[in-house]
Amino acid sequence: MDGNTTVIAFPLRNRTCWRLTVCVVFALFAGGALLISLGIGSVAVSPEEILRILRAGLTADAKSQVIWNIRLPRTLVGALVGVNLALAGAILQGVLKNPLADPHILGISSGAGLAGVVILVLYPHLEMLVTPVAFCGAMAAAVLIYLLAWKNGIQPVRIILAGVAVSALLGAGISGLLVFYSDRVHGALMWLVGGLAARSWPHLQLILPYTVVGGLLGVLGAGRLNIMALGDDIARGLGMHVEKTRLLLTAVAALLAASAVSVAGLLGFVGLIVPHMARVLLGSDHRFLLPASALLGAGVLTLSDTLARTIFSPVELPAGIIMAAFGAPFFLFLLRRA
Amino acid sequence: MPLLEAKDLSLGFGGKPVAEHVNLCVRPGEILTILGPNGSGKSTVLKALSRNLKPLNGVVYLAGRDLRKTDGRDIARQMAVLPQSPRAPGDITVQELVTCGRYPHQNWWRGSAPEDRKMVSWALQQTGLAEYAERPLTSLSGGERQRAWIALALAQNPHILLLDEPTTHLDISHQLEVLELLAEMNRRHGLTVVMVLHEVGQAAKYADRIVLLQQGRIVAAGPPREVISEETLRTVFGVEAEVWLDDVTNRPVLLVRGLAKKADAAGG
Repeated sequence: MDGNTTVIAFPLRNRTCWRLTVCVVFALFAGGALLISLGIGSVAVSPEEILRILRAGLTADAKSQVIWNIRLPRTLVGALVGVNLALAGAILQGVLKNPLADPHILGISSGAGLAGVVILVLYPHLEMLVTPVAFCGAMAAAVLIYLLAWKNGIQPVRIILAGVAVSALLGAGISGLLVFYSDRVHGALMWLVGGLAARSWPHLQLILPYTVVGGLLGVLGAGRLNIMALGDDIARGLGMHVEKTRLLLTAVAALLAASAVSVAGLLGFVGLIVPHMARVLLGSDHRFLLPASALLGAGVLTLSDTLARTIFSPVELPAGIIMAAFGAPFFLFLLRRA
Repeated sequence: MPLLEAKDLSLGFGGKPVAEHVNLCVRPGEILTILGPNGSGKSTVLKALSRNLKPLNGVVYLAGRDLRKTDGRDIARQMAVLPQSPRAPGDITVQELVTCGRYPHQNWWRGSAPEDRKMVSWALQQTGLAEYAERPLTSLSGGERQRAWIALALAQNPHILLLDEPTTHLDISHQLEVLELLAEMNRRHGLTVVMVLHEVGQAAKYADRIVLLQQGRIVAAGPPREVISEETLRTVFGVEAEVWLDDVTNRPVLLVRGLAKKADAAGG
């Protein structure tokens, strides 16, 4: 971000080694979270059984049914939502050079939120359309912010200010709808808090292409993000087309975030805090930061969702609440140690 | 052919132009200093030369090619730019920073090559930072940090280096250190240097030619002994000074006596 970026001290000589280690630890964490998510629930399944069931494919066995029809798709959707939100946040924080940038600031979440609430409150019989409509809402909000912020190119500060303003406007729309139709608030509320209840294979199909394409473009853009961190003047002096790169990378982040919030609702926290967690441990080199954020995002979201659906079982909490309740204090702990 | 040439530039940030009718040409192998009082438009001119400001009018040519019609990387392989007080992420090491200078020579299918590593260590050596390679940039002193940014520019392997007030925020010995480094690169490797300075004495000491700006117009251009005079110091900078020629260097030396009377000074 700037000269004040805090990073936990690490041995400089073995810097690359340390960063790779952190990435591996994050990968193990993500893998572990996936296994735990598959194994825990009303029916407990041991890790060996999970591997056997996954190898065998769908059978008539009850556990196999639970894993293949319920837990696997939900877990994978959660992991990909986590990947997308964390990547979107990491890219936006890099592109906009602002540690507070995340899909919420860009107004993407509010766009998805308003579109989703309109469906859930005004046209509840069209509930199956929530995901695509929310995606359109998110992208419409992103485009609107672009147009508002455009003046001889895109300035990071103007994007953020336009995002905050659009976010407030759309938020007012959401609140208005909730007040006018207070009898139908419940369904919309779950959506606004964000969670993965009843997410299944169709949702996975929807989000997967964005994760693959967005993740690939994000990783390819990591070197450019590093150059951009040196300031627009330096980046331009090094031959980068700064405005074009900024536009492209912001668009990638918008697609990642829109696909995630349209599937899982307005999950906060991941996009903002996960990249920071990774940065505190790894430093600001985006070539490590982006993959690490993606892995950490997947792990954090999967684990939160597992807790959310088991902690007060059979009552299910939205994953967003769990994530904030556990993640925020942990992040503050990291921040104080740095 | 001039290495860098500006033809009838009008520059501004919307509204009234900050600088008008700016014509200048940079010859290969020289140190050209853009000099002028605060608000004279010298940084604005450098921004236009370095593509960081689109001219309202006029064209900048690099080796005969219109800057606006040339690919950015192509330009960056010939011309390096160092803005005033650049900033980097807090944890970047000197080596990582300098390696960024290889960006215009790389692309997505060809990452870091042996040639890149060679240029980076050459740049670190030239700037005396070889031992600091693994250190975080923030742990360096102001002068060392400025040399690290210069190393970034050198790693680009440019023919010409543009700098905006490279000595700001440095104490006097570090100022000289930076200027000596640039003079050395110019002498030994023929690097063409264009820099904005606001310190008249330093411009007189290090520049081959000075372009003097006042209120957005070039009022004088030429070798220091032609441009720096008691007259120009009074009318352009508003100070009374004594100027004489150093026999050894054939460059002007000045002693500032005080502010010029308001009636004599043109302001700026």
